[in-house]
Amino acid sequence: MLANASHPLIDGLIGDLLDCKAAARLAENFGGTIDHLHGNAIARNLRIYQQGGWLISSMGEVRNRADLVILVGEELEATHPRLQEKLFESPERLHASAPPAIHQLGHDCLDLLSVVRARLADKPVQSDITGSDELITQLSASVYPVFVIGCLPEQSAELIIRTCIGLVRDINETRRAALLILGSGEGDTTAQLGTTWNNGFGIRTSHARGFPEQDLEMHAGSRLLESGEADLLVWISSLSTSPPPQVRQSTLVFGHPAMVFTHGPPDIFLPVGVPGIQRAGYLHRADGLRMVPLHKLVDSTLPGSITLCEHLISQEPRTC
Amino acid sequence: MLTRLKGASIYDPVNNLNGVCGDIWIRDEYICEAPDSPEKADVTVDLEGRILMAGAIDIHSHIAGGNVNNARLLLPEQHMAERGAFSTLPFSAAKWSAHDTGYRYAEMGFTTVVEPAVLPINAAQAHAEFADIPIIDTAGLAIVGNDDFLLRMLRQREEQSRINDYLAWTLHATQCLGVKVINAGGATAFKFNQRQLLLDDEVPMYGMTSRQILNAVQRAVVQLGIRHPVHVHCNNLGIPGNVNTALDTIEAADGLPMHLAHVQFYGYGNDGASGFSSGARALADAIMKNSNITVDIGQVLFGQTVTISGDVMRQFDARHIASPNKWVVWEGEDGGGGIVPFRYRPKNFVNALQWAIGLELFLLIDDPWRVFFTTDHPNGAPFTAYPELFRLLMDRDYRNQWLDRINAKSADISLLPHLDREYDLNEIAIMTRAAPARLLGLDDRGHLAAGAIADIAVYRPQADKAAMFGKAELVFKNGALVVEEGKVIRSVQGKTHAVSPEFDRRIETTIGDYFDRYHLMKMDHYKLDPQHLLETLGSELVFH
Repeated sequence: MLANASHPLIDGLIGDLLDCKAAARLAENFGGTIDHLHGNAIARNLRIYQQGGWLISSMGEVRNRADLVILVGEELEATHPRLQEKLFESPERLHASAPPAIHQLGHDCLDLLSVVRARLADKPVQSDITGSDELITQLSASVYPVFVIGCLPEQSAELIIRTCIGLVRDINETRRAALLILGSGEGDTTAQLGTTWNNGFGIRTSHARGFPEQDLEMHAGSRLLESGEADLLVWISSLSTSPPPQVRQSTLVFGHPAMVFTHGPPDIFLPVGVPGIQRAGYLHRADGLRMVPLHKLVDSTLPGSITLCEHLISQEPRTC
Repeated sequence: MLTRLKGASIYDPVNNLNGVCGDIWIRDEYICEAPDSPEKADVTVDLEGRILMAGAIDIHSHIAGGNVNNARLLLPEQHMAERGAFSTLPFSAAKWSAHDTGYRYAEMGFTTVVEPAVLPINAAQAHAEFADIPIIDTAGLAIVGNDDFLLRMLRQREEQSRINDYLAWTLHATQCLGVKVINAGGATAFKFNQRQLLLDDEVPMYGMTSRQILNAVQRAVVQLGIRHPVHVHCNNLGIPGNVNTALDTIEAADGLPMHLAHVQFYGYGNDGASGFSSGARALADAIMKNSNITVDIGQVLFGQTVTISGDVMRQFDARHIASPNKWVVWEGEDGGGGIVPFRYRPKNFVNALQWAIGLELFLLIDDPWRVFFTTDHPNGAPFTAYPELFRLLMDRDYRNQWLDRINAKSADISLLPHLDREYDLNEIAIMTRAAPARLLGLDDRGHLAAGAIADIAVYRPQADKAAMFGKAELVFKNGALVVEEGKVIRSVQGKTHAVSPEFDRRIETTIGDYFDRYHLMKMDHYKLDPQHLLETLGSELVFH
């Protein structure tokens, strides 16, 4: 199937570093494109990053130093269930005596953030907004405020994040502040960082023309599947039992051994070892600064996806 | 297998071979003595008229880790792949990837490269990237000097032996070859909103100076017997007048071994109408007078690049000169860093003088055992520009042609027109082979005596030294032929080098308790385990 495909899409990437390396190798060898389950969110943040950069902090720094945390986005506990316990409730902190004040902002915080930014920069605002005084007072009294950004609705995410980046930059001209961008989980950080040092760019990189090219729009997995430009879906998911999307293309799955196929089985299902249970591996912490070692806890005969991919590549090596 | 490399002009300064015509014999991975009879060779390679040296060693090049990888992500436009034929080697078309790094270094005859800035919390990623760099051997230097645990020990005036234990533990936890100090206390001071930290300024909250941190780390390295001296990125990088900081740091070394990194960025006076001048003469004189000091240059070469540094204070300060206009500053446990793209322009007064100052230092420091060949990749220039630097050092006429093309005022005030020195092949072999191996404590390389690993580069003599050193005719890595006619023909797995100094394990009780109180993970989970690195990443560690 891989050899006959003219443009395989390697997607999902709900796995660890070794799964992501396997995906990058497969894409290179078979002239395919890689993307992640949360490719839209990764690509949106990456586009912002590539256009202007940002000033960010780490989870450890927030835990030890932040005296004000502005939570941007609701339901952070769904994607990061231990965030509260690990970052905001630590009994001992390096450079702060008390836990940080938490200021929760909802999904509709764009206007508030914009007004706060304008007012802090002494720019005129047409009309003030409820809550801006409070946030400005908190920011002004804080030594190290951190904007912690979680999942946001697609239509407003980009502007909210850009406004937070601008606010943080403005504040840092005279004082300190930072962002902490947490992403969507499910291996998104590892998929982005781990593929980058292999193919140079990260996800949404295609090898269809024989060399890596990143395009955050054109190489979106969902677009390639809908348009039919991709003629094979390779779904890699060693950490999640959720099935791949139902598509008209043939589907090859390197999947969690307990994967449940609600829409019927794929053309080929290759169960693989689960990192952190059946094999060792590495997964990035949500801030990307640290790679967490995963250990093998039980013996298993299941191969890792990278072993299978290397085997497939050796059967059908690139020749040109 | 027994291979005879026959009849090359051999440059092996350790063994006093300065262009002597002779044979080198390789048995499997190592250089061996010549057998009784040349007929015993399984393979003979005729190298008459060629120049043969040990594989080159780069002591300071940012090739791996989060800061480097995030720079790749920030600047896709700087490494767009080109359409064209691609080989069957993995990711050979992926520019600035880990693979590309290995291939490009190997093509020039480099076989060992040191990443000088591994932030301990990011060490696993640095090793993961090392493992994906083909052919060349790698090593990391662990960043210390902004780590809260160390600063606390200093604040509490702990005994030096405890500090030694902690530094040895840091190397044990990060699997690095040595330690690096970046603007000691600077990242910490920046966390407290300080925008500059001088050598004798106190670090907020901790009550000790940058100098005291540096001295404590330096003593620890000496007392632990770590071969590579403390690797220092001084305070005040890039600021006019900072040559005084470098001179003060040399004095602070107090006769003990110290390596000063990318000194070109500290060769700046503040004389003249523009307030920017060359301090190269004073710096070179001080280096020549203090035999305990080694330096690498961090040469600037013209063109687009990106600055990547753990000096978060300096990188934040440089945000206004980002070109293209985008920059990243980040902070993390025990450090931080920044990514600022930059284009060095020959007609710009400051950039042209930076270029000249680097070359002045190379030419004024008349001891190739103590001055090292670097561009601080990619901060002064990407390492792929090394061929140009070889030519500038070895070809006075070429240098003078450049003097006519750079900013006229910079050329006017530069010492370069008065410096006639040209590096010869023996000096190049010292600076890029023998001396780096000695400085890093890697006794098995940098020379061609029997027992050394068979890392060998063969060049075709050419008047154009850029062409000569840009594409090695042959390169052997651990005895395997990996490059022919400047092209990689085979990829092999490199190894990663580290040290493992002894320490009193009781310190782990204190460190473990510290992790429980202030970190997001347990100490045992933070330490890198060589067996785990091998099983997951294929990373093979070699301890020295």
